[in-house]
Amino acid sequence: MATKTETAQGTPVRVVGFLCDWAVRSEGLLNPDDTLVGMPHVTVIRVPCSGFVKPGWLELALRSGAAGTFVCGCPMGDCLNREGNWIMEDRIDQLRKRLARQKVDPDRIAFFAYGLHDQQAFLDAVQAFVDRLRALGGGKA
Amino acid sequence: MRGAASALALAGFLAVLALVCVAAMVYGEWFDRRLLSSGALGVLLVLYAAIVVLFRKAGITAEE
Amino acid sequence: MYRRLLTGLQSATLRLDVGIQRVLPQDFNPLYYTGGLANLFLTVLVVSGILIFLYYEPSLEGAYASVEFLTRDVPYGVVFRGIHRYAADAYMVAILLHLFRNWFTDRYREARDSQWLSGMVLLVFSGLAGFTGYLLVWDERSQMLTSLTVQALRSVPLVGHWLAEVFVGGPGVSDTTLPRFLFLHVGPAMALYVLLWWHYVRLRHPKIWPPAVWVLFGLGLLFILASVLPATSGRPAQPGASPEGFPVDWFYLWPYVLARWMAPGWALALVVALLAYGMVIPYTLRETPEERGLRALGQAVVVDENCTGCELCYYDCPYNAIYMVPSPAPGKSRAAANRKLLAVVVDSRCVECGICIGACPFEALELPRMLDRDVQQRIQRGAQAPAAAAT
Ligand code: HEM
Ligand code: SF4
Ligand code: SF4
Repeated sequence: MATKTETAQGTPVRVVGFLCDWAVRSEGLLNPDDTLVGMPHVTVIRVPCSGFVKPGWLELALRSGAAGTFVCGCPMGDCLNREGNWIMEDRIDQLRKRLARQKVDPDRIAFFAYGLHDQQAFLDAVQAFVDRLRALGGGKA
Repeated sequence: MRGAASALALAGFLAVLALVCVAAMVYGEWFDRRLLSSGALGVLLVLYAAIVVLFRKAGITAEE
Repeated sequence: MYRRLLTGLQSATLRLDVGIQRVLPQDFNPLYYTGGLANLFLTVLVVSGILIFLYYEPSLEGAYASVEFLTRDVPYGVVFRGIHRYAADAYMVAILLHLFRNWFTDRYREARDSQWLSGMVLLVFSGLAGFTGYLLVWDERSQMLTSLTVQALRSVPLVGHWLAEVFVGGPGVSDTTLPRFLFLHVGPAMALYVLLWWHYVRLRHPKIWPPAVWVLFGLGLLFILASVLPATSGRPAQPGASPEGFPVDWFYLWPYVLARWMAPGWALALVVALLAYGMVIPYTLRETPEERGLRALGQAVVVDENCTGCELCYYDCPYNAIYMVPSPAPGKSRAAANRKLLAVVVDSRCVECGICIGACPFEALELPRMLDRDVQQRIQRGAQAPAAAAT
């Protein structure tokens, strides 16, 4: 699976994402170095619940040179921990507002919600996200 | 403005609906057709549920 | 074997959601609100039950006639009676869906066992209230159920006869019997609310109502059922009569059907065994931390030095596992120096989800096996990694 992961200027579009352990089945989804299959620029950190993710970590990813960052939780309503994905969605909304004030494009942060059986939909969503980032240009660093 | 108008329309619709229900119940009691009118009430409620789904699918109402 | 079965059932349960969401918007999926649906039908039961209670007369001579009066002469009495009956069935369907969904999606063990146990006790009391409801009409069915139950209770070793006497209020059916049945119906129903407190005490804002569509649909369905299949009584109970059979409500009366093939005592034993097994489900086949993987990172730990007492974690923890206590001593960090409160994690409630970690802006909470520091390193590595060639 060859995918374009570079901007028009040729800088690679790096993405750091967080994937809830209970959401999309991760078997066969990741390379040994925790990058997404077919998307070696996308590093995925598996977490126990999407609500575990600190907004500060998303900021850190952007500051460290990632072009974008995302969190993927369970389908809304099916969070294993009842409310993790709703809480995370809220936190991301607030983080977007804060970043917009700091002249960082809020579109660099995405929130997805996919279940066990939605591997393909998840991969498509990440690919679409990478495409959007490619249009925005590479990371800030 | 549009919000207020549609809310009013909805309130009016619900009021009429409530009146229809009351009328149906009085009719049922009067003419000894309790089961008929309560069944009709049930159908009305189920239809109403269907309308909620259709509205959402047609994009008229959004996720809150 | 059993474990593979559970994994398969989990996969199937979630696949069902995928199917449902092809038809319905995601937030309308009824399986996300099975507890709320149970609560909806329970509320309908209480309201219609109070209306029926106003007309009911708990005596051997009067009970049947009072129910007939309600059904024939009270305006819409027949509808209320039908709604009460079908709401009971819908309620049982809802709790069974709730039970199996929580079971198959792994929401029943470790720190969640308290919800599971209170749920099983709710199930016992619901079943009790459900079948005693059929005794109150005092028709032939009531009579048969009573005699089968007495037989079953009598065959309990040691205390059997005493239990049977407690059940009917004396050595045999007498004037105390129906008041006692009335209590055995209403008492457990009221106890459900105490049990629900236990069920909810570890859940932060539990979703106790389904979305409006399902309220409308559920109520509509009850009205339709009550009109199409009106609830009626059988022939009145006759002392000494031995009726052949009775119409069965499969949700509450199935143990009595078993009594056709086995002694009533064995049917009772089977029910007790099933419920007892239900209670130990959370403790059978415990998984090791390795098997639980990312879901066993250790219970959240408060870093005393950094906690400012801001309460953000307290508001986000979905399992009410964080308590704010008066701070015994100031914290070390600048922000924590003037704190009034300190967060404390109640270990027995914490499900190790880490939601509080995401909430804390002061680095004062950690999951022991996935530290902030390590995650930060991984983020930096990911953000800066040289374009990896391997795919
Ligand atoms: C009277 C019937 C019952 C009612 C009204 C009821 C209601 C509820 C509600 C509203 C919730 C919260 C759902 C949420 O907000 O995430 C819940 C959770 C739960 N219920 Fe029930 N329930 C009932 C019976 C049962 C039974 C029979 C069981 C199983 C034996 C059960 C097991 C559970 C468990 C394990 C949870 C926790 C789910 C989680 O941690 O996400 N409940 N119940
Ligand atoms: S990890 Fe935190 S949020 Fe999750 S249950 Fe434990 S204390 Fe609550
Ligand atoms: S969010 Fe952090 S700082 Fe605030 S009370 Fe909880 S542990 Fe303390």
